[in-house]
Amino acid sequence: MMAAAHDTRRQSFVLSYRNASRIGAVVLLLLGWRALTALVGAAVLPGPVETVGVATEGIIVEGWMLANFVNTLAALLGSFLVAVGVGGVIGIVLGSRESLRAVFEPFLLNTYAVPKIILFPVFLFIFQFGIDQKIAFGAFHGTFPMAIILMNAVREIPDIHRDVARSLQLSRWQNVRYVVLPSVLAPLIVGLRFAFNLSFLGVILSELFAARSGLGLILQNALGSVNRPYIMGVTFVIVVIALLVNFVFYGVQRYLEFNWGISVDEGGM
Amino acid sequence: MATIELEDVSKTYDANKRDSGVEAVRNVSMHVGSGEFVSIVGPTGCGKSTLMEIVAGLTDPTAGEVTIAGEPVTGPRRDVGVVFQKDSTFPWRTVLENVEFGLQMHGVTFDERRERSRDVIELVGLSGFEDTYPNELSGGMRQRVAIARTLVMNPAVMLMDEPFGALDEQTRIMLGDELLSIAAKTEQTTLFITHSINEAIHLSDRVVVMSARPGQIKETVGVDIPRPRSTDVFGSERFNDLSERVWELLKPEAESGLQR
Repeated sequence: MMAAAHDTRRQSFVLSYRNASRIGAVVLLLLGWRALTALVGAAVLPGPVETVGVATEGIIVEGWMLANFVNTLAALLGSFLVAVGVGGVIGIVLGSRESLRAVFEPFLLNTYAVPKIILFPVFLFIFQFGIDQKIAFGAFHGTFPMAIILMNAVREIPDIHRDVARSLQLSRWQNVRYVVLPSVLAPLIVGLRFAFNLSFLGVILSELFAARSGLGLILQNALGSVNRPYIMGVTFVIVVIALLVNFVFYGVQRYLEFNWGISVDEGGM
Repeated sequence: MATIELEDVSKTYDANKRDSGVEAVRNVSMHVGSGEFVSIVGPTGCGKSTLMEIVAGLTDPTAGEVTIAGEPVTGPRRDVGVVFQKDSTFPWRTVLENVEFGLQMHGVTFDERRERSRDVIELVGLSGFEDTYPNELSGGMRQRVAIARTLVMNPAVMLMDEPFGALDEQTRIMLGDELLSIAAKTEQTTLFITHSINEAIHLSDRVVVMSARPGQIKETVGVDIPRPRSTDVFGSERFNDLSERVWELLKPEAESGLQR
């Protein structure tokens, strides 16, 4: 018990040290950005203060970014949910059925390797310019990591846990709820994070190429008119969305590692 | 009357599975009386674990029949508890939550299952660790959790597949001793698989010696050392005689097992 208590103390020290160094890294990044602005001039590269000002102005004060911001978030949420649902089912089915895995795993991995942007015209033909096109293209990106990570997680559930479940006569539902789900929870969090990140990539890409609304669209417009403060402001908002959501995922992941002693292997992704 | 009856039980694994066409056990017939503690010893790969899975209802025999308390075994059942060799604790559940798992799945109310679990945790000597997660426990303590999880169901029959197989010698002797006092209290019928001759004699009323694959019963050795027993039995004259007897039976089988 003493050893455990000691470990807990040491771990919380490591965590706070880790957090401090992360905050330090962000501060350094902002200072570097500011220095670069000073070097090349604010007309070439708007600084952090001006950028945050443009972002706040766009979303809150003047609101020119607000409708696009909401539209992008809606598309992101939609594509994330589709990716999680479709990828989750594919992952669980392929993870638990060796025969199906033998057929579809290479297909899954190889398709994942293709730069998905080359299939964008197909999505455009089918869905045209609406939000459903963004959702579909985002989900297309997010489904693969979700399916691959969950497939491997289900495959690696220890046989002994299945034996325990059987010897205690668990129903199928109890087995999924109380054994399979907790077993894959840690990799599931990683899968969700990747699904989110790639769905976001897909949504922004489709907005950059062809959309009537969204952060990608106004970024594209700002790029066309070389409106540097707008470019930086929109980019900043996109980065903040990605970072905030990832912080939440990392938090859950660390909680699991800390409390369950489950370390999350992200190898290969 | 929770007796275990095996009648001409044989098991050959399908040719399309990993162990293609392997005959694991052949024509095993045995009887374990109510409240009796019987160990099965045999060389590695003699089908001990297969036999155990069949009795537990986790694997179907190719031929023959198993009955427990007079009813044929067709699958896992509530009056039969199984303890596995590998660490089977759930890492996402505390000791208490692990122990109460089976009760929870069978709809026992929160208060009742907590109370029963705490009693069993005390019985296996884990008091004070109720809220600890398995990754903070030693291998021996994790195995106690697994035993407690099975005991709390109050099964009439305990099936134990080398439950101390992964532990160091001292720990397994101490846990064996605890198991003896638990078995004396609960009066369960126990079928215990082990590859340790000393452990088998220390714990059992009878020791069933199996042959090399395909596993058949070679002989049954009665252990007439009076109970209650403790670790003091080790080194006693009777213990050494029995140990020698079992080893004589086992030696040729272990040798032929090595030559495969």
